[in-house]
Amino acid sequence: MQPTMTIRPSEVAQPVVRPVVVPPRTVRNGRESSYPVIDAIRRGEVPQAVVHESVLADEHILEVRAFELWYSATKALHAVSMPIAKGKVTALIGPSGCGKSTLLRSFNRLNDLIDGVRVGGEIILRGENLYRRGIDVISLRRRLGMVFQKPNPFPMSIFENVVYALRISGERRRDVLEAACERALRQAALWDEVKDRLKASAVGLSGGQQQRLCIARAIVSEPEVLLLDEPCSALDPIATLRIEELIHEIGQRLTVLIVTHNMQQAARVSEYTAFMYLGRLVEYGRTADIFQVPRLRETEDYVTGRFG
Amino acid sequence: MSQTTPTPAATGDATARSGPSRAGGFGEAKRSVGDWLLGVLCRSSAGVMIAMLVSLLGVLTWSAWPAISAYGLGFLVGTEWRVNELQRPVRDDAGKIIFRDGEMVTETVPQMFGALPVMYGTAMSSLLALMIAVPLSFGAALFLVRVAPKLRIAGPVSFLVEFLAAIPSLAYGLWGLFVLAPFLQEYVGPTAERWLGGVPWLRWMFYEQVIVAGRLIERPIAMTGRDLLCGSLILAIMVLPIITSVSRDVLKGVPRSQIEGTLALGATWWQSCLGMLRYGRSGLFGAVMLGLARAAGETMAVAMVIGNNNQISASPFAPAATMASLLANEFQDPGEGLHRPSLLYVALVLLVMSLLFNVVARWFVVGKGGGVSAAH
Amino acid sequence: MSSALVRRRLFSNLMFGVCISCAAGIVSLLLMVLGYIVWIGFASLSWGFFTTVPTGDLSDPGGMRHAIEGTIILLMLASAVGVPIGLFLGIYLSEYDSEWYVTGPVRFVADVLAGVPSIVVGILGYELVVVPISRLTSSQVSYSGWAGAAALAFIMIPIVARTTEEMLRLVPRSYREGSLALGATKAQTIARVVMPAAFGSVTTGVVLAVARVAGETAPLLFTALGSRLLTRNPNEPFPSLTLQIYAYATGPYPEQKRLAWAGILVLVAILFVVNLAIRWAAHRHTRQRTA
Repeated sequence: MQPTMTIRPSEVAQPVVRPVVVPPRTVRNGRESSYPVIDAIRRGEVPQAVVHESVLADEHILEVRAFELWYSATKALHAVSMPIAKGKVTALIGPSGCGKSTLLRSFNRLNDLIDGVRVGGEIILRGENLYRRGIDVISLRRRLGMVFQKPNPFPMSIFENVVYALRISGERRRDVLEAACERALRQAALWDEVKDRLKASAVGLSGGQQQRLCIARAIVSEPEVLLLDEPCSALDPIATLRIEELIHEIGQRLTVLIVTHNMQQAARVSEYTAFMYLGRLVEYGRTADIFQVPRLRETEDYVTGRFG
Repeated sequence: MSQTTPTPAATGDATARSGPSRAGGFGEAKRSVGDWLLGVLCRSSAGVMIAMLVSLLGVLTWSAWPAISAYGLGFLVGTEWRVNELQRPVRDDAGKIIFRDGEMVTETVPQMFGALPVMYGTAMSSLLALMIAVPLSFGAALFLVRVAPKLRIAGPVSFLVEFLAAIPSLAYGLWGLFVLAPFLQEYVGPTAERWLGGVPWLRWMFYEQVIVAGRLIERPIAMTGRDLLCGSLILAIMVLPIITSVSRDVLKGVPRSQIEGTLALGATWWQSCLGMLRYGRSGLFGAVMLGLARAAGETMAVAMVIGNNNQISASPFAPAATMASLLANEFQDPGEGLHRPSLLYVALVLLVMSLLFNVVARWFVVGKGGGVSAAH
Repeated sequence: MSSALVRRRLFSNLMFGVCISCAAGIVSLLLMVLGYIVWIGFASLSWGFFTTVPTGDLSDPGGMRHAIEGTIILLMLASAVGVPIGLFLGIYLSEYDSEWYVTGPVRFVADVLAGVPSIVVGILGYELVVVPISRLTSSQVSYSGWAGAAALAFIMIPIVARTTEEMLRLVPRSYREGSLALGATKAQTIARVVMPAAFGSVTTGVVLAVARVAGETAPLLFTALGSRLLTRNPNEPFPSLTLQIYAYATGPYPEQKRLAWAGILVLVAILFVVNLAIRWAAHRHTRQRTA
């Protein structure tokens, strides 16, 4: 992947995205206007995203720069640019098909597995473009953990599931594996429930337990970023609540990116929220702002459920 | 925001195992030894498969070449199969032997090979087998799909049918040779002759015309029990399981809505079955083709019961030969000259024919019939 | 009720009965064939069958121990080559399917090769193995156990490959994605997650393929030829249960024919037990997994 801009280290610290300052929404003089941004998007344009200044206040760990993605001939992501705050939970929301999962999977280059995928632009992690030619995708994937929508524990024992990432890195010492397993399971709030049956098959766990197991599995090698793709959509409400508490806790230590179609969940767990529509970033800011004082009418109407 | 030219994402294959360096860089992608090794092993096994097919076609063609160049495609319509040269007395038009200087004048009839008798034998035995097996199989498949589930015996019966398919051909051959053939010889043949022998237009079933001592005579066919009929019956038993199980899978794939739709319109049980058969007709055709492919290639059982007489005869009570049975019987001790290449030519024809059947069958079962596993 | 409807109903009931009798007919045919095999074969079976080798004596032809051992050795040799190649081919067809322009034709070739009549495979074995070796050693035709094993492997490979592929495809994609997302290489994913997940069904496929090949006679006719001697040396004509049964059955001696029945009973019994055991084990395996 050849970026048209070569990144020199001195440029890394400066964000390329210049936020557009839009005054808070005022009542327009009674006239019901439609959604200008949505209309522009539907016309095929790529309007400038509305990024709040608050986003730039925190230190960034990841930066998406003019990132685009095609599935064969269909363009799924249009020039998305956004910084991701370090050590915070960022939520991606938007109606089905808006590209939030696609964007999430682009961070750990899982989209490479699909035939016919092409990308443009960059994603920068600690100064390195993840899409540059020749990068070591395997070690990249070890630095970003991912949890999927439907829990997918391997048909092995609970212990083997958790330490899988360590084993494939070559770690064989029993004591190291066991310590890491306990640590990860404690962090995933699953230790007490399974500590007596680590050898049992993971498939026998309940849905919520399986998902927590997948979280433990994803964090065992202490990644810097945790990617969650609608982690609760296959779970019942009680399991969902437990996972949300977990996300909150984990978010103290790691950077978490969560895709969710559930607005209330985004409001509960995240510090920053990004609203996407049809492959474009529409608005991005602090969660409190997005939900209470959004700057675009489209955002307000989406988070209050008037469309989507 | 500048547009970058889209570039393809690297495929996940060439990836590596360098340790993560916390300081920031990810290192360069190195080839993982495991990936490379697995790739080599897998791709070379694919190469082996291609080599197998190529060697099969190539070796057979090359070894059969003397016969191919001698007979060409006329081999496929030649009716003579004479391994050894014949010394035959020459006869005049009245059929009398010609003498010269007190000795018989003989002519040497050379070796001659033609595949038509065995192709006829293969075709007839397979067709007869299918005529018997297909209705039985379809009926049983309908039973398994419509009736058996309610009686909870679908499982055991299906297992039995599939076990039938796993019984080696040799077992059927033994049973056919020692049980069925004697039965046909003692009971079926004479009974058929007694009842039908008088019917004029069925005369060809019981009498054959041969040239003996220069004259054409008609004589009754000697029934040994090992004849085309016996071979066809054994083949029918052998293809029953495969046609039944594939048909069952095809019929299982008929959506409930189709069946309920016909019943809602007031169809009887049988009429809704006809609807199912019509819906799955391409898959069912594929099932029949699979059975045909199996029947045509079947060797051991047929070789043991078909009588091994490499001539075309209209009667099912006459011994016959199929391509496979001919090969089983004659390939061992080849005569001289073109015998072995001709046998290889027959093998080539058999190979091409069964490849064709299989290709057509799979296209119907897997492609259009849909949903049926190709691992049959 | 109109008479046309009554006629249709009656006909439907008639066909219902016909279908039941079709199924019953097939089952009873099976039972009849098996019944004869068990009845006559059992009468001819004795311990000597398994422990003694053929004598030259026509009234007491001995046993088939040599043939049983021969079959076992042939199967081992054939599996040593056929199973690995078949497994790797199955992995290729399932996991490397992104190279569809290659896997498509290869899969087609595998399907086509699976349908080749086994006697043709035997003839290929003859031309490819027996004939060159005969020329090299300049003896008369040198049949060998190697040639027989090669022919059996030829038959085994496409079967193992296709069943392995089908079983691997049943492993959910989420396992592979999950493993790759954790930073595993493709080889690690296949070896640690995908193959173990499909292990039971792949093994079933392999065992069934070996069982199928165990019953083959035609490919051995011109490769291993068969032998009356107890031998473990694959360099010479090699015995096999199927070949010995065929030789005795088509021979003229009644005592030998009785032995042929005993032999086929043993063969069919082993296949029955293997089939049953495999299906039972598979049934238990899936019950455990989904519990």
